[in-house]
Amino acid sequence: MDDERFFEKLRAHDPQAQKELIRTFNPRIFVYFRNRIKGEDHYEDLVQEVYSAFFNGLEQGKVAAAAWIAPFMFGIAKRVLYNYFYRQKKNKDIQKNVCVVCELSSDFSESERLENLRLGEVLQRLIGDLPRIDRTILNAYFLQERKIGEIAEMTGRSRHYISVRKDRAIRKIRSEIIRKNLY
Amino acid sequence: MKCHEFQERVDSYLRGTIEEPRREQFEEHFFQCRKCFLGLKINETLHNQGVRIPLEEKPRSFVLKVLRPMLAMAALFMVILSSALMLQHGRQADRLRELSRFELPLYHQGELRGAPESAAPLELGFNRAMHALQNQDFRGALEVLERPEFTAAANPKYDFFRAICLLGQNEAGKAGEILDAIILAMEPAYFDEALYYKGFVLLRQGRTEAAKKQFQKVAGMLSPMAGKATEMAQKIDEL
Repeated sequence: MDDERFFEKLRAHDPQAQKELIRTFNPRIFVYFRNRIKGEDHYEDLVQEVYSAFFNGLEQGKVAAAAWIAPFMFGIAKRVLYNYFYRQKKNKDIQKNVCVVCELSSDFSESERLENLRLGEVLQRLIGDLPRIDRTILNAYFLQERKIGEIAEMTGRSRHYISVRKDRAIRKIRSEIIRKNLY
Repeated sequence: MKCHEFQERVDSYLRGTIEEPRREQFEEHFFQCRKCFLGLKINETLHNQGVRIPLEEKPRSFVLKVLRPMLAMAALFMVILSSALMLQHGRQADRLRELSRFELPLYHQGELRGAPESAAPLELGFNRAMHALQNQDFRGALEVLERPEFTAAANPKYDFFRAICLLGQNEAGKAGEILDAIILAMEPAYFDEALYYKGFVLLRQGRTEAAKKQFQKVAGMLSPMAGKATEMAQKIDEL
């Protein structure tokens, strides 16, 4: 969909556009919170707060064009995080609020969990098609949590070779996912 | 933050060791860039150990295990075979081309084989054409022999040498038509030679068998061209 058309639909409360927006930003918001707040498993309230603020802002005309959506969303996520650190407690009105402004009453955590599960399956399949050396490197790096130097020693290759090979393998998987629109 | 800077910091971000000033730029970037975010997501999923990374090879089906190498061998064999055939065909074509080169018919200055007295004024031009012909300048000779006065003369000598020039120019079809006319008219002065050179016309047209028969026909005649025709028939046999 064309960016501007998408933006217009979003402003007109189109459920499809809202769904698309959430599908795009949900994983990013979760990654953001997960890496900012360590040791916490449930970010549902914070994510809801982000969407609530976003849709409110959209209503009030704070987002001028499609290009502003991502920076605006990031700004809200940042603010929500700072508020979280400040308050350390949940605002009970948020759930109600998001349902008013967005017609979707999603369980954002559940949808993120399912997305992660799906990505895991996709990765499993694509990694199986990689050459043996790439799988050995990824296995040692991610599963055995070995350092690049250790893998280089283990395989008898240079550190540079291992590092390049690892990055290329990830890039190859990423390209396949984009090409086949798997995620 | 640029994409390559982002990619360099994926690991440190996931391990929580990214420098604080860069952290926010990093996060701002993945909110905006789908590709980079996907890369981050892949790394995160692999870091979280939710994905099994197999070290063993995928079990291959019978088709991949047995048939694929066989098909590969068959394909290789076909490539070698077709290359050999093409090479052989190329060599044969070269030899055929070599064979279809012909010796020029002898022409003696002042020769008036079958030429009527009235044609004498044309002889000067004809001599010039013959000089060009002996120097293998088929085009030059043809320019003279295709002049209207030569074609209108309907002299078998002019026609025969025009046919030879056309053969030299690789216009076998036209040459063949003229030679056929001479053969059909049974012109005594050029009949044998026309039959012999018709063999070259057929060779140039790639009709090897017909050419061989043509040369054998001349070889069986009581003709000065019989010796040469026998040689040609043997050469074709050797092909």
